[in-house]
Parts: sequence; C-alpha cells; structure tokens
Amino acid sequence: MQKTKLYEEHLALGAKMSPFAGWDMPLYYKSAMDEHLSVRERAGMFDVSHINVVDITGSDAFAFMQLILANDVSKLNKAGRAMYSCMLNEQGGVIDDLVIYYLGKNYYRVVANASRKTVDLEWLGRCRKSFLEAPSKVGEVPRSRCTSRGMTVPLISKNIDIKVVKDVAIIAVQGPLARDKVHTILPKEQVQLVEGLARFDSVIIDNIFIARTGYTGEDGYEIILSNNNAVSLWRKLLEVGVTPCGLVARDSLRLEAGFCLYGNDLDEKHTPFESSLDWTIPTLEREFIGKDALRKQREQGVKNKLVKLKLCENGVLRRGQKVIVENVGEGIITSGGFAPNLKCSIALARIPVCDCSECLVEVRGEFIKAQITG
Amino acid sequence: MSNIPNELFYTDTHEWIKLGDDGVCTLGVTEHAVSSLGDLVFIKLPSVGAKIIAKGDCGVIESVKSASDFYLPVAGEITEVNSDISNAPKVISEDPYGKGWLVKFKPDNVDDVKGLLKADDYAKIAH
Repeated sequence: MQKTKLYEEHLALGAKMSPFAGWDMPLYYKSAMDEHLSVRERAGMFDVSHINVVDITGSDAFAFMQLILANDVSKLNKAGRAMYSCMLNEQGGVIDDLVIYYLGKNYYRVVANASRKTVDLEWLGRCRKSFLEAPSKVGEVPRSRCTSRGMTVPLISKNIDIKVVKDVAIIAVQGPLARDKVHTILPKEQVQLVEGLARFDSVIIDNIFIARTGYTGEDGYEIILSNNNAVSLWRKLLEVGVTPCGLVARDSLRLEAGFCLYGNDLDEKHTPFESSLDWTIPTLEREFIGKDALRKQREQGVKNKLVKLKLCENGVLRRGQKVIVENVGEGIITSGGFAPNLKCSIALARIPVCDCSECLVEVRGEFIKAQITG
Repeated sequence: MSNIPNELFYTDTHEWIKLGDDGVCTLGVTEHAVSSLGDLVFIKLPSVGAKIIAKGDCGVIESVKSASDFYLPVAGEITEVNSDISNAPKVISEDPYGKGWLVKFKPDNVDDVKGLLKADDYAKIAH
C-alpha cells in the first residue's frame, strides 16, 4: 500500500484511514459531515496526492491531445487554462475523465483518476505508438516503412513525450474562504500572481503549481508541489484554520455539486452522452478517438442519460438501487448518499431519456418516491 | 479501547442486549460499532408487535458512508421502539448504551439471551 507524504500528518490528526486505489488514504478525521459543512461554509483541505499527474509534451503534443480527448483543447488559448474532458475508447466508452492544463505550447498537464492509473498509462502508450507510426497526412510514409532502396527517406519526425509527474503532493483547498486562507500563507509577491487567477486558470510559481480548480463545487485551489514542501504547506494551512477533510467528505461534496465519479457514473461501457456530459463534446466534426461511435449513437438516438435525484422521504439512496420511471422504463443509481447541506439523500442515476420529474427507487425492498432534479 | 459494559450481552454483529427483570430486553449497537460507522444520518426501526426470527433483520442504520443492518440475535417480539432517535440519530453515537437504545423486545426464550456473548468475549472481537 502506498502512502502519501502527508500520511503521518493524517495519523497525528486521528484520521480513520482506508485503502483507496492502492493508497492508504484518510476517510475522515472526526466527522465527515462536519468536514463537508466546513468546505461549504469556510475552508477545508484534502490530501489528494494519490491522483495521477501526467505531463504530455513534445512537438506534436497538441495534435496528440486533439486525438485522445473528446473535448477540444484548441479552446485552451492561454497558458495556464484548464479544461475538463473525457478520454474515450474506439467504442465511445469513457476510459477516464481528466482535467487538462495547458501550460505552454505543446505542453499539457493531465490530472487523472488514481483508480485508472495503470489503464490510462497503458492506453496513452498505445495511442502514442499508433500516433507516431501513422502517417500524419495522406501520402506520407509511415516511419516503420521509411527506407527505400536502402536509403532512409527523410521524414518529419513526430515527437510525443508522456511522463508521470513523480514525488509530488497534491493538496486541494476548497471553500468560500479557501483562497483567502491560502493567500495569508503565501509570500506577498506570490499572492499577487494567484489573486488574479480566473476560475479554471493555473500558474506555476517557484515550482509550485496552483490551479483555481476543484471537485467540491466551491471556489478554491488545487496545489501540486514537491513532496519535500508538502508537510510544511499542510501545517501552515492547518494553522490558519483550514479544516482537514477526508475522502468521505470529498465524495459527498462532489455528489452534492453533481460531479461524476469515474467507476460510478462513468465507465468504459457508457459514452459521455449516457452520462449527460454532452457539454464536454463541442463538436463531432473533428477527428478524435471515439468520435465515430459517438456520431453513430447520436444518429440512432441516445437512449439513457444521467440525472440527479433527491429523496422526498427518509432513507438513503445508494449505488446499485433500481430506479423505476413510470411508463418509461428502468434505470439504476450510479452514486448515492446523504447530502449534509440539503439534509436529505441525493443520487445520480442513469435512466431512459424522458421529461419526467419523479421516479421510484427500490430501497431495501420498498419503493420510495424521488424527485428528478436535473 | 471502546466501552463494553459488563452487565450486558453482545453479538458478533455488534449489538448489545440488556436483559430486564421483567424478561423484556433492550437492544442497541455497541460503542465500537458506532465509532466505525461514522456520522449517522438515518435509522429505520421495526414496527411494534413485529415478530422476528433469530438473527432476523431488525432495521437499518444509515451513515454518511454506508448502510448497516442490525439484527435481533434471538427470536422475539418487538414491544417498543425508540422513536426519539428517528429524527436524531446522533444520539446513538453520543450515548449508545443509554438514550441511543434502538428497540425493546420480548424473547421467545430468555435462556437464548443468556447464551449470547459476555463482555469479555465481545472485547476479543471488538477491535
């Protein structure tokens, strides 16, 4: 089991630890509910150093990203800008959902799910190989067949470098006061640089990567820094009153914000359309892996979508429970739980496409009514 | 080490049972169980008068993390449920052996209750 650089900090804070994607991670410290509320009302921080960070560089990095992503990275027109995108297989299924930071010309930082690390790296490697071998334009000779009568035919060589960013910690500081709290502990000249960051913007200062992104529905920063500096930053944040939060609160926050979780709401068997992520696919008019399958699905009509549910009665919606939409058909809860802010249970469910506003969920043998809220 | 009162009986599914002088038992969940569940958000209790078989489903405790069933360890009839906790499941965490009791039941056979785990035995599995 892998441990993050902050492992000892978690133990010292009395965290309840649990294995997650091969890492021993904090589930909660004292109360997941209080942690959730502290992020909504003040500021909380999460050790998410288990997350997989991959830098993709090289003279053809842009073309490569355009090929492997369903969203259009040409929209990233300023260094530091970030974008959310699915990475699809040929069938249009989601291999992983990613945040991509454009750090400079042909320099992309990809933040990917820890649980998909092995699959992602293998897929990226395969895509890289076929990208390098394939002729980039009609008539161009593939590199593997680039000799003619014993003489090397000069080719414009393509170049992609995929590198896992190692020995770094990632701390997400989230909540309405999160940015202010971070500003109080940064040197003055750095504060000026981060204060101007728009949402979904990032900057690298003295080897510290600071992005105004997150997974809680709140404003805040995600900070990637060298392992050597992680404990010091964590302790400083603790000192200025940022609440340490575990993975349970991270999950309830993202669910309340309506964000998908890979493995629950997204998987290789469903396209982004079936997870209501149409907004992440601006066009089917350009080439990318999975495009043909998406186009075909759209032509034939997308049958399912992902919706938010809210339970009207007492009880808790959980992943795997059956959903019945009257006169329409059946669906399934992909993520469920208790929403501390709403004080009721909520869920994401995949149901047949329809205009319905309520459904029934089978909770422990009983059918109870839930609202379809979006 | 969590609190395991000596005078109670226990189960390997982390319920405690108190045998009353009148033969009526009170059932709750142990401090150990409560602390591993995390924040509790919802409790489902059985109906009064329900007859439950030994190790039968008695209700469910939902926490932020998960749903956990609790069981009646011996056959019996539910005589009372703690309706105070339905809207305040936090009480179970705060006072698992007192105000946080879940149900009272009349066992079909009081000797079945006496055969349950004693505090010493339960201490061996509650970690």
